[in-house]
Amino acid sequence: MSSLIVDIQDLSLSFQTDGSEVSILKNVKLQIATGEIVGLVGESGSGKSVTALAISKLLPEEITRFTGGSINFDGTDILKSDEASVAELRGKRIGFVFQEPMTALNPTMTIGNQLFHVIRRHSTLSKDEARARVRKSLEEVLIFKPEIVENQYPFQLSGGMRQRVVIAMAMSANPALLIADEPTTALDVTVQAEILSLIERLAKDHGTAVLLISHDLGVIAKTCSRVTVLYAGEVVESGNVADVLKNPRHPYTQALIRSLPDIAARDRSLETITGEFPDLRNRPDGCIYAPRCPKKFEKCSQSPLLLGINQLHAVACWAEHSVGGGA
Amino acid sequence: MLRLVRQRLAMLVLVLFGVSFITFLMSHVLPGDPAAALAGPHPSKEVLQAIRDQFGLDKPLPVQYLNYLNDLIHGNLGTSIRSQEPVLTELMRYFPTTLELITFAFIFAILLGIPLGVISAVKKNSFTDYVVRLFAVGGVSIPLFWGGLVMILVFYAKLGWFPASGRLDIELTTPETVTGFYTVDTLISGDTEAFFNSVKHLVMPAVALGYVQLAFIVRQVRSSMLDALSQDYYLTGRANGLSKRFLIIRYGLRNALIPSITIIGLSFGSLLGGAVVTETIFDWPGMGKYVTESILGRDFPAIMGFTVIIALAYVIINLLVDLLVYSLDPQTRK
Repeated sequence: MSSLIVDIQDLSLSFQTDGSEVSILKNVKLQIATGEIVGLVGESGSGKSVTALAISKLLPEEITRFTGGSINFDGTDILKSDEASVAELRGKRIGFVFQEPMTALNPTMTIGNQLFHVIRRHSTLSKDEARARVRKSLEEVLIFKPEIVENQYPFQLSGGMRQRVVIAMAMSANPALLIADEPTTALDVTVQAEILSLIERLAKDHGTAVLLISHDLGVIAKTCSRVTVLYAGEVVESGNVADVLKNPRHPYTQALIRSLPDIAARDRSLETITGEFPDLRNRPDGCIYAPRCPKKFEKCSQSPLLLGINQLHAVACWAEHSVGGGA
Repeated sequence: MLRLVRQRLAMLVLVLFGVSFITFLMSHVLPGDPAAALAGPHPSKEVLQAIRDQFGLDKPLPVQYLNYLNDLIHGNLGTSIRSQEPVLTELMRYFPTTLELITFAFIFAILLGIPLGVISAVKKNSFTDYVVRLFAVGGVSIPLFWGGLVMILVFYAKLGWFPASGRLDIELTTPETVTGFYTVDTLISGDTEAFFNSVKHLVMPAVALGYVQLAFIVRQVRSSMLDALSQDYYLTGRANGLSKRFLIIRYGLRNALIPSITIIGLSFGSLLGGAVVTETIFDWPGMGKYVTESILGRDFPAIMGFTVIIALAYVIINLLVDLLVYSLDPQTRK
């Protein structure tokens, strides 16, 4: 593995609301190498977005409490840095693309001006040069009439076009990391494919690493080299996409894959995961997935560690690690 | 844009028609004999009859209304029963006086209210926010007449900073009327002493009247601002590393202004109502005082003239607000 751009170790954090504390992430471990595309998978509420926002400290300060671990971005210890120095990274070294292109742009500013201000913020370009860069950025995300689009307001563009603009903004300063939080979830399937290949191509051209968050394993399989699976704020499995998706070791990952619809097997009824998502106000001791797990045994009352099965594949499951256990 | 103006002007005619009808009806079905009020104590039957003939007070109501409407269309608001002067002339004398008071009250409220609302929202739930909110609660809950009297007590009686009544010290010459705003007319005539004196006279009534409006603006801007700050685009702006100042103004306030202006503009009308009270407290010789006296004297033409002018002002303000929102919101401009 080449040098790491993001190194998250044992990150735990909680939200405090109305006196009660909700444990959102527990001992999350995530590493992204320079130029690599890493997927982060999990259902709603699993902590994917929180992990992403934590990297550039965009979580609501008044309720967020970091309770352990560290986030290292390209040599900067994010959690120990003050707001001003993290703000320096935003947009310049870390680009962000969000799920909802319909609401992600300022409704009262033209597309051109939104890009212009971001570009000016992170460069020493003159106004004219920055204007030229706006055009170039729009062309780069395959907007074919930038001279028209730059004078338009967000409401005049389709969702796919808006997402291109958001991507153009996120990539305008050549960031080392692009965080794409469900970038295609709100889009049509055909547009989805275009946006994904756009992100892939830009990342490759600019040497940008990507953290691609999705609940769609198909998207992950197509785009990423490695994947991390989150469940209730804990990493249950991570490894090479090929390994994890073809040979999932954690019962949760296995269930996720079985719940995917398959066009070829129309007669097969889809599987659902029985039981309920845990109550994070009282994070249960032991394995977080145990209450829903078909393979549960005595050992599962203790927290499993995320241990490697081989060099490229790690799983947090007692059934995989204890002697005599096994899938 | 033009369509909007045309639409509104057409509506103006309808509104004025409705207003004239309602005021006419109200003032004529209410008990009280204007002829008796005019004639003074113990009038003879002949005197009363003469007055009724002169003003057409004993004609059937529909006829009186049609006469009134006909006059209105020709710009004649009737003759004041009390002063025997044309109502229009009198209103034109008092209206700028009130308008000057309201304008300064409104400017004061906006200049202070918008920044306070923004600060309060940006520093939500901080000590600053609580102080601003307390200040705003004061504005909506302290009655104007009481607040005005306390101001006179403190700033006039105790500290002597500002005069408590009138528009100008009596020893100063009244400027020649151009706009009817003393602050403007004194400047036009080059009388700086009178200018500063007129500003001094304006401070207390304008602040007293503006405080209510200010409180309202602070609360409105704060809530629209909180809404804007929680929008996705604001997070996008932050994630793109834009400066906090730029984010607050161009991403926050710029979007918060659209809903705020509509509501602030509509509340401008409450200033007109508040002006009546303020003018009474600070002895400000404007429309408020004029209409109060007209009501007491059952001076129907004056009351109706006042109502029509106020309705006109309302519709024009609404039009201005719509045009402003229209220019601020790209979605309506398309």
